[in-house]
Amino acid sequence: MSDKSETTQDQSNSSMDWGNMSNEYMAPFLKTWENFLQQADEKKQSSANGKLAESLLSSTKMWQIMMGAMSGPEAVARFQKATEMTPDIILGFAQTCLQGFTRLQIQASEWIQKRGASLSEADVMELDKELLKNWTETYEEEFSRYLKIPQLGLGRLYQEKANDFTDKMNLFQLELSKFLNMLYLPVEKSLKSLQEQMAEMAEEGLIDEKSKTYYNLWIKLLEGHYMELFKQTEYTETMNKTLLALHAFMDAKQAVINDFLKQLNVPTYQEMDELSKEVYLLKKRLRTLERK
Amino acid sequence: MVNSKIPVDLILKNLAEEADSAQKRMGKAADVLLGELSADIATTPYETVYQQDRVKLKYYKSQTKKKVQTPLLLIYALINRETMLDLQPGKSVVENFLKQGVDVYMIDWGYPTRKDRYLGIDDHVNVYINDIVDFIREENKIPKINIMGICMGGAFSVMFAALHPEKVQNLVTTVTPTNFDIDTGLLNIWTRDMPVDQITDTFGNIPGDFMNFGFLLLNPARLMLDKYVGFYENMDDKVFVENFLRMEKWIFDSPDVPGETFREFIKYCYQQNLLIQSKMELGGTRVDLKKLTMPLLNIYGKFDHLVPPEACELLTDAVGSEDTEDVCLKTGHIGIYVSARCQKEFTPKIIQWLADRDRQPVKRRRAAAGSTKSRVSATSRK
Repeated sequence: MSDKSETTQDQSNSSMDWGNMSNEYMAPFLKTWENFLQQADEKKQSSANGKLAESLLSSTKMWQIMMGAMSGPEAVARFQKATEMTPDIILGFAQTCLQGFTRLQIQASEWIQKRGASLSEADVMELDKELLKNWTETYEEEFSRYLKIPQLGLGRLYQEKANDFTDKMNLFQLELSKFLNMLYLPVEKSLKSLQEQMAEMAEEGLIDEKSKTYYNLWIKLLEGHYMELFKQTEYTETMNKTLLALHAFMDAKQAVINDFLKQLNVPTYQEMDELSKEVYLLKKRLRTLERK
Repeated sequence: MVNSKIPVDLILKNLAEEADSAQKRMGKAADVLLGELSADIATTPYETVYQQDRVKLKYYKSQTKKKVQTPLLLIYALINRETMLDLQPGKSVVENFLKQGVDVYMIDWGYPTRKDRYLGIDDHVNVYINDIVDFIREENKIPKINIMGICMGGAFSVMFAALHPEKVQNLVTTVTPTNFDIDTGLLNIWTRDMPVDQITDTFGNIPGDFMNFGFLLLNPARLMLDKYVGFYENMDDKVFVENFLRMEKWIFDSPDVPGETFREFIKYCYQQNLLIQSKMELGGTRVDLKKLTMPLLNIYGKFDHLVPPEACELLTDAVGSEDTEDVCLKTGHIGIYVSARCQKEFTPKIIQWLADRDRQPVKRRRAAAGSTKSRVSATSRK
């Protein structure tokens, strides 16, 4: 205990000594600046130089005052107390971070469990389709919400628009992937059917030596599978969802572009459309009046 | 020893022959593609006699003795261009009319820009078509003209004829959809629940490429793949290449469709099927098909995948005219205008039908014909 108090006493003394020393060290500089300013005033130098000198003088004076205050016994004692508290603060901060990380880990493992539970045996057979479906759900539930965090400050509106654009672009990409995946299905099916038919032909010894025969057969199968797909409600629904996602994405993109155009003083589509509509209605009115 | 049922030797021999012939073909194809190709379309001379905004009126004057005195106005769709009716000499509907002594006017809808997005069906029918018809009537000093509509342009012609019957002498509709409540056409199935408001709001005008992609999706195996395999196999044939290029030029020359017109056409025609029920309204006036009283010739394609026969054949029964005829040709949506066989059936039929009605008044013709409503298919006509 006595050792600790002795050490503390030593630290206080050294702090005070350091403060006094730096004040003594800065004093001649301050004196020099004062003399320099006096001379400058006498020579009537430009006001710009005067302002610079004044600013330097004021900073040096401020330094001297601060050092003077900090080298007092009370200030040194307070500073020392804060230093003693630091390990506790760091420990508390580390504990909070660790708890947050553990919570995230638990959430992640719960989410993986949930995904696994929703994937049935039948789903595994259509893995690519399920993959897209799961990825969409994951995106909407887990990632999309981060882009919807309210923004703050002067640029909040712009940031929100940029986030919305990113979000809508991702959602459109997801819907487009599903649509394209659906368009690829007939290719897959037709190739499988072709293989089966060729196997049958081979068994019966009916294999044709011309490659064009198989191409024609494949095109016919492909055409048939596409016709089958295009009449399905699932196809129309996927197509319409893609179109809606495209609409949302283009709208969000336009909002961001409009901000740029506004800064550049270029009329936006919205402004041009409003003008076009006014001209359109005016022409229509004029025509009606002319006919009367 | 097992006897293989697969003639591996023959297959390999054929593959080698095919590779050899492909190599020779590519050599000739290079000469064809690098040489001079004549792939111009719409080469028949014409004069632009009228223009309103982006819309122009082309006038083709017949140089032979007139078989039909009343001039004919061709109203094409807003999708793709009217150049399809004058694709190339020998495959030109316009040329056929001129050779047979029919003066032809044709609407060129031009390329809509963003400012045209608010133009609806009413503007196209009651403003552009109406003003053009008035212009032709004044120019020729006649009270009525003949009209032939194509596809969507046919639907516009029907609307116009029902709203302004006093200006139309005879109406010819070709591959014209009027009944949209059918399950045989993919377009009808796809547009049923289409979010048309959102699409229109997104694009303003509907881009031609977007429309074209939709049409290609109707049969991707043939239109996006097999067609080009066919081109590859015939690349050494100059005439084939020229014809192929003409068609490619036409297909991918797709103006945007004015947004409001697209919205209304999908909503009121495809989704609500108002036209055939005489429930459609344009500019506050109901399009009552019973007011369509002039002679009507309705031609459509048996194998049309865009506008199936079911979409066309209710029209003649729905109109007020007592002189109607349905003709179903054994062809598709475009083949009706450009196939060699239809050049011999399609325009001669229209010219004869118009000439018959040009010479004699309706009452005398009715008395001579006895029955006035008829349905003819290409098969029975043969």
